[in-house]
Amino acid sequence: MKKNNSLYIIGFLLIVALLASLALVMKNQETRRGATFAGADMYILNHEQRLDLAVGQQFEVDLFVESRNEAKVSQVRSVLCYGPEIDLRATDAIEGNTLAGFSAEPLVRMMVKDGEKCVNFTITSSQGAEDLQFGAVRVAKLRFAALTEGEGRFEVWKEKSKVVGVNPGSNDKEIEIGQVYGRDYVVGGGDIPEPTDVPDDENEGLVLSFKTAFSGLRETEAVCGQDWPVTVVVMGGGETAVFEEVPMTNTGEKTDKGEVVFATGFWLGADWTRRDNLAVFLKGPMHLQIKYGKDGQETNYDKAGGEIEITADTDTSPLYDFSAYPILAGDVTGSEDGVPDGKIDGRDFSYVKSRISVSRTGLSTGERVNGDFDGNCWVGNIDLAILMLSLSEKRDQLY
Amino acid sequence: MKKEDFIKFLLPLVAVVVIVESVVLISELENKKKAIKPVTVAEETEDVLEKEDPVLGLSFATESKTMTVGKKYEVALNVVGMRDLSFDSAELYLSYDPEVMEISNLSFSGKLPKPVFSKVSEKTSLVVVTYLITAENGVSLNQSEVLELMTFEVRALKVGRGQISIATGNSSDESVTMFVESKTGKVLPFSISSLEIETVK
Repeated sequence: MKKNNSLYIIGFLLIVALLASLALVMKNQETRRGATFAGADMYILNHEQRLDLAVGQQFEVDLFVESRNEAKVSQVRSVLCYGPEIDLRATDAIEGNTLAGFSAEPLVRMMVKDGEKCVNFTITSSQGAEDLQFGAVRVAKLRFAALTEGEGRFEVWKEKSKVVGVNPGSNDKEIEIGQVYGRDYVVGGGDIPEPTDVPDDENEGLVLSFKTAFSGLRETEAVCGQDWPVTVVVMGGGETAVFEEVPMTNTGEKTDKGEVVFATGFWLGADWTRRDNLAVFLKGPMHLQIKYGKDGQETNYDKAGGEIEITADTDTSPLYDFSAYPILAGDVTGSEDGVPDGKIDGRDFSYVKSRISVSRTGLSTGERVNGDFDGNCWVGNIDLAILMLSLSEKRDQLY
Repeated sequence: MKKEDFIKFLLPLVAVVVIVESVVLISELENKKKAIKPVTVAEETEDVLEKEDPVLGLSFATESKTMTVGKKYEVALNVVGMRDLSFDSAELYLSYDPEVMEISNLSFSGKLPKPVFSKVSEKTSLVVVTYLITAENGVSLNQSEVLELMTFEVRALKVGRGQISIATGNSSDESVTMFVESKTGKVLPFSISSLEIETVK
């Protein structure tokens, strides 16, 4: 019996050992499988939205590569085709994303596919293997001009494009291109998007429409700098109304100082009746609340009340332009970590500083990153500088 | 040892070694995978400092607390460390009595970077100085080390008594003197002493 017990124990241990070894082997294969099939999509930012252009308008598109399985991108060759309605600008037509370590000036040659022009450009990163980027990586900005009326589409010529990099756990250098996404455009319309109407179920009463900007947000197509909602407080004649999470539409315009202009328009609801001498307070998600009292305001409005007038007609209610005095960025935390407290102080500074990443790896593929004021999806020295400027300006106003 | 006994001993030993090896290898693979994820993790530190004793002491230094009307006197604001620490920012708000004294000529410590903001605000009767330290580890201050944060000149305007004090406000105020620690991002507790001034002819 004793001998039998020993045999059972030995047998049991051997079976466990076998299972553990199998688990190890399976795990190893899974890791290798990830490397073998590491791939990347190549796309133009906001590919799901049509570009509305006017003849003569100059515009930019951003080319992205989004790698999977943490494959790092060191070189990208992209062939982008487009119709005769548009063409690359004569100077500075393609600019590599130096913030991501790519060379500013790519190798460029022109090609033709089915009668359409194609630009073939290759951009290489100067970063070491450790610092190469992965995930959603902005590769280059391409600058075009709209020439004639018509419509067409940017197409990524997948077969001619190539992505090279570091596959985790593999010596393979080529990263297979999976999906490619171009972008439609129309030349001729080119109007600034109509302000959105929110909330949908209260389309009545008076209409407030305005344009504004966020300090430090300068890239029109910044991946993580889109759809930042604002809190709007309307005050006048002793009345106050608060509208949370008001969506803003990117107009594609920029202010004289280079900040991207966003616009909105919405009904204030049946309860709001005051039409004149209004003040509007705007607060962004990582921003201080700023008071606006008049159209075209360029500095702090330090008077009581305001000079804003509104009507109930979307056609006649003015579109106020507050963009020359952007909403100040920098309120990212308070006594509770990561929860803004309506002020910019040393805690905000320390919060952003502690999150500065040297690797410049995106922390998001589109979601807002707290402390990322320029919308490039990671927190860097530029964000810290934006915060310091905001703090200084706010102190100047208060004291 | 008999051959049979030896096998009985060796087989379980080999089995145990294989199991341990497998577990260790799997754990290492998991750890490696986690290590390369680009995730920023907020440090979770307990906010106990504000309930603890002060770790910094703020005080004024001047050649005389009795000041003759019309004459200028230099005053320094110092901070002393009560333990080894480093800070990312120092926001200083000093309130003064504008009817009794006038403050001018702010100058700053060479051990600190130039403040991003400094002003004698007549609008609020406050001296406002903000240091933001971009150096990775902030500014270190050892236990018992004294650091001069700034100096300024005081000129008595009329005979009487006046005070220069460090504004601490409450959490809803904008004008709150504050030091933020580099490692934790937490506000450092500090003790203060005001400067009582007697002005004479």
